Amino acid sequence: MLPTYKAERPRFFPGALYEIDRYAAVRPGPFRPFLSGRHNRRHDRMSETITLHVNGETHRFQAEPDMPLLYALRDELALNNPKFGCGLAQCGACTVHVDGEAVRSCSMPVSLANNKKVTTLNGLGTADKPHPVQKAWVEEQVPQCGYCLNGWVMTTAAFLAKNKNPSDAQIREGLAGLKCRCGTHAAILRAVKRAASEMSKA
Amino acid sequence: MVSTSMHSLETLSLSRRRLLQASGALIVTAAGPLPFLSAAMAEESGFGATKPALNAAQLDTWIAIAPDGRVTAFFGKMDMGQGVDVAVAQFVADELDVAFEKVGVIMGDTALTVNQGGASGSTGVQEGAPQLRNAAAEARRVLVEAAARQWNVAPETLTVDDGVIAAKDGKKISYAELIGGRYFNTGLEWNKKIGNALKVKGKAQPKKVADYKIVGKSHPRSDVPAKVYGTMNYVTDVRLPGMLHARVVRPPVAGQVPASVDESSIKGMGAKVVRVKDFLAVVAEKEWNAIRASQNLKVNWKGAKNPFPDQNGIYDHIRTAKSTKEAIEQKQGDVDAAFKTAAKTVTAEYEWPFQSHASMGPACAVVEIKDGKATVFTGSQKPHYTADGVAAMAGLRLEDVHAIWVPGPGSYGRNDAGDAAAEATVIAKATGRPIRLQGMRNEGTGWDPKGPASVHTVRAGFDKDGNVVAYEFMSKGFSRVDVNSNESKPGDLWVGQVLGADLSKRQYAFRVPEESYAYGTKRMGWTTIAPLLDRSSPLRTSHLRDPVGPQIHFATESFVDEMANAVGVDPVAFRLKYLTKDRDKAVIQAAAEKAGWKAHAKPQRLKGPNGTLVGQGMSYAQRSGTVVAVVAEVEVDPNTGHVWARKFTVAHDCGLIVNPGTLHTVIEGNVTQMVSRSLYEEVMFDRDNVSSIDWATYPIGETPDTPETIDIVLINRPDVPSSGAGEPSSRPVAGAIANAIFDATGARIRRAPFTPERVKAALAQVG
Repeated sequence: MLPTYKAERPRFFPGALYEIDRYAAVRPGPFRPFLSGRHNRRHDRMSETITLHVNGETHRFQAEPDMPLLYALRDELALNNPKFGCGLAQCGACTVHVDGEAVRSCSMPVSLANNKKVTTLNGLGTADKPHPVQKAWVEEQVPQCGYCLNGWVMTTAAFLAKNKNPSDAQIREGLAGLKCRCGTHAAILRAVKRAASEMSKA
Repeated sequence: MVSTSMHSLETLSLSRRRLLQASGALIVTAAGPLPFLSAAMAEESGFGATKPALNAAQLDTWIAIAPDGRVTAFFGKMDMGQGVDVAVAQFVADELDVAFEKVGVIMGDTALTVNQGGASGSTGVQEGAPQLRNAAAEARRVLVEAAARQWNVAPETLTVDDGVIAAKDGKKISYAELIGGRYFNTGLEWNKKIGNALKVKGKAQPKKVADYKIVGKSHPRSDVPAKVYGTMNYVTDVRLPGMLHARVVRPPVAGQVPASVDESSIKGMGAKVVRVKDFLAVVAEKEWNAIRASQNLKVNWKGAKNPFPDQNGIYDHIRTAKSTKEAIEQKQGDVDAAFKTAAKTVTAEYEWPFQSHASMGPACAVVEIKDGKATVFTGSQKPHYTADGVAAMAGLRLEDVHAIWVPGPGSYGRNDAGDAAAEATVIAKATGRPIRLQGMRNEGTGWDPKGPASVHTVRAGFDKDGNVVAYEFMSKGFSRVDVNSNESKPGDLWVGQVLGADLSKRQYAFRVPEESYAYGTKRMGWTTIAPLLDRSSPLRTSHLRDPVGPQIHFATESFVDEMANAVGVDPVAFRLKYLTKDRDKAVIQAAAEKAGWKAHAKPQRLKGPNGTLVGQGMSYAQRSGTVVAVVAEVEVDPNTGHVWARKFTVAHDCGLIVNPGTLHTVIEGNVTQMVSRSLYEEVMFDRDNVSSIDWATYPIGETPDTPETIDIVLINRPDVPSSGAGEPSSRPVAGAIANAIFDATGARIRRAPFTPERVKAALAQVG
C-alpha cells in the first residue's frame, strides 16, 4: 500500500490536536498551547492544589493550572521519563498515559490531569516486569540515542491496547506523527509487530 | 559488558524534596559511567582514591582491573547510541581473554578519559578502538609475564581463560589476584597527539583476527534496557542544588542585538533577565517560568533588517558569489584537452539545500562554576572540546573545567550541544548559580549549525565509441566548517560570536567524492563562498552527518546514470566498466544480485500498484576505507509527484566486522535518515531569519514513509582492518533514490529534496 502523502498528512498527531481543542473548550481563557508560539500572557494566575496519581503514588502540589503536565512531572516530581522534544505536540517525546490514554504532556494543562492516573515509562513496566512493548524494544535493540523512545513505547502500548493484531498499514498510520531523528523506524516497526504478536497470545 | 551510564530507578522516583537533599548522589549517578570506579567506590573496592593523572602514555589511563576481576576500559571517543562502546568492549575482552560481560567502558568524562576526538567522522571503531585494543593486549602481556615470573616459567607456556592465568602444571592465578585494585604503572608508546590522531601501543602485539572469539559476534548494547525501562538519565535530567533554569532570548531578525530590554514585561513571572553585552537570557527557579518569561520578554532589537537573500535565489547566489577558497583535490590527465576532442559532451548541475540537525530534543547543558572551577554536563559528542569551549567562555584554564557527557537528545555531527554548553557557561558566570539550559524547539531546528547548501556541476566528454574520455566534478557552496565541528573556540560558538569573538580567520573547506572511477581524464574540486551573514547566524554551516557526503555523491552518482543513459548502457554495467577497485565492484555486484537488478539501458517506467510507476536505482560510494552500494526501489505517483522509497538493498564492506548486529541497525539508521533528508528536508528562510523552526515546518520521515524493506548484505573482510560505519551508508542513498525515480519515470531530479512539486515538475518536462 502506498503511504498517504506527506503534504496531505496532518503534521500534528491527530489525537493531540483533538485533545488541545478539547482542552481549549473546557478551559476557555488564557491557555493556548505552544502551537501559537507565545502564550499565557496573564500574570495574575493563582496556583491551585493539584493531585496526581503517578505510577501508583499520590502526589499533591501547588501549580498554576495552565502549566503543561510535562513540567509538573519533570519539575515538581522529578520524573524524567517524559522528555521535552518540541512543546508543540508534534513529536511525542513527552507522552504519558492519563487514565490509560496516550497524552502529549507538553500540551496538556496540569489542571486537566488533576485527580487522574498518570503512568510514565517506568510505570509501564520494569526490567523485572516488562510490558510486552518494552520487551520487544529490547529484543529488537531499537533505540539509538533513545530520546524519542518514551513517545514510541507509550504510544505503542496505548495503540496495541486498542488495536489487536493490527496490519502493517494500520501500524504505520497509527504511529504517524511520532518522530525519531536517528531513523530507527525499521526496528520500531519490527518491535511493534513483535509486541502485537506477543500481546495477542496473552 | 557493563552499562556505562546506568542510573537507578530509586534515584528517579525520589520526591523533589528528597531529591534536592540527595542531589549530591544524583550528580554522581548522572556523571554516570562509574559502575565501579567512582571515587567512593574506588576506595571501597580497593583502588586508591586517586588514580594517577591522565596520561595517554600510561596503561592505567586506558585499562583498570578491579579486585573482583572486572575490567574497565577508558575510551576517549563516544558512542551516540550505535554501539561503538560495545565494539571497544569486544576488542578489550578478546585481547585480555576475559568474558565480554566483565568489561565496562567509560567514556565522555574528561576527568577519566583522554581526548581521542569524541564522536567524529565515523572513526570510533576505525581510530578509537585500536588504541584500547593495543592497551588491552599490553595489559595481558604485563599480567602473564608477572605470573610467569612468579612461577619461574616462560610466559609463552601460560594460557588465559576468562581472566585466569594457568600454567601447564595446573597452577592458576587470576588477574584480580595479580593486580585487582592496583595500578599497572606501565608505559605505552604514544604519538604525542590528541584527538582522532592519538595513537598508543605497548610492547605486546594484538591478537590475530582468527584468534578473536568475541569480536565478530552480535553482542547487544548495554544502554538499551536502561533506555527502554526509563532508568537512565539524559543530560536534560541532571539537577544540581541551587540550579536555575535558563532560556536564551534570540533575535527575531538574524544578526540583530538588543537595544533595550523591558524587564517589567516579565514582572510576576518568577524570572529574571540576564544580559551580558548583546547576549540575552532569562533565568528562573522553575522551568515553566523561564519558558514563559523568554516568550514574553519585550526587547527592542537593533541592527540591519533583511540579512538574507530571497531563498528562491539561493542557488543563483551560490553560483555567482565570490570565491573564498578553491581546491582541485584530484587531477588525472589533461582534462581540458580531452574535452576539446570529445565527440559528445554531457553536463548537469545538482543542488542541495541547507539542512538542520533537528535533533530529537533541543540541546541541553548544565553548568556549575564554583571556586574557579567549572563542571559541565553535556550531551555533546565531543565533550573534551566542549570543555575547551566552556573554559574559553568562562575565562578558566582547561584543567579547571570538568566535562561530563550524559546522553543527549541525539547527535549527528556539530549540532547545538556545544552552543548550549557555552551559553549555559556565560549565564552561570553572570548569575553565580548552577544553570540548566535547554533550548526550545525553534532553537533546535532554527538556530543549530546547518549542513551547507551547495551547487555541483558535472561534465563528461565521450569519444565516438561512447567511452568517457574527460570528466570534471566541481562543487560550489558554503563552507562545511564555517563553525568548526570541534566546539572549542569562542568564534565557533553562537554566544562567542554574539560577544564579539574574532572571526577574521574563517575556515573554508568542502570535499570531493570518494570513488574509484577511472575515466580517460578526471578533475574534481570545489569552491567555497562566504556565509550569508557574518556573525551569529542561524545559517552558520558545519558538520551534519557525513559532512557534504550526501550532496556530492548525490551529484556524482546521479551523473553516472546520466552518462550511462547518454551512451545507452545499463547503470550497473557502466559502473563496473569504470570502477578500478575490486572491493568497490564487489559491493555493486552484491547489491545488484541481492536486489534482483534488471539490466536496462533506458528508463523502464514499470507500472506499480495503484497507478504508480516503479523503478530501481543504483548508487555507490567509498568513505575512509568503507565501501557501500545501495539499490533503491521507489514508487512514484505520477499524479501527485509523491515518492515512496519502498525498498533498499545495501551491500556494505567496512573491513573486519566487529558486531554484525549493531552494524545492521546503524546501516538501517543511515538509510532511513537519508530517505528523510533526500525526500523532505530543506531549511527554509525568509529575508530576516530561518523560518523552518519545528516539525511542521521542517518535516522529517515518519512511519508511513519508512521503507518496507531494508535488505543488508554485510561483506566481512577479516584481513582488512575495520573502517567506519556511522556515516558511509548515508552517502549513496539520495543518488540511488534519484536514479530510481529516473528509472520509474524518465524524469531526472537534480535538486534535493525530491518534493512532490519538484517530481511533478520534472515529470511534466518529460511528458
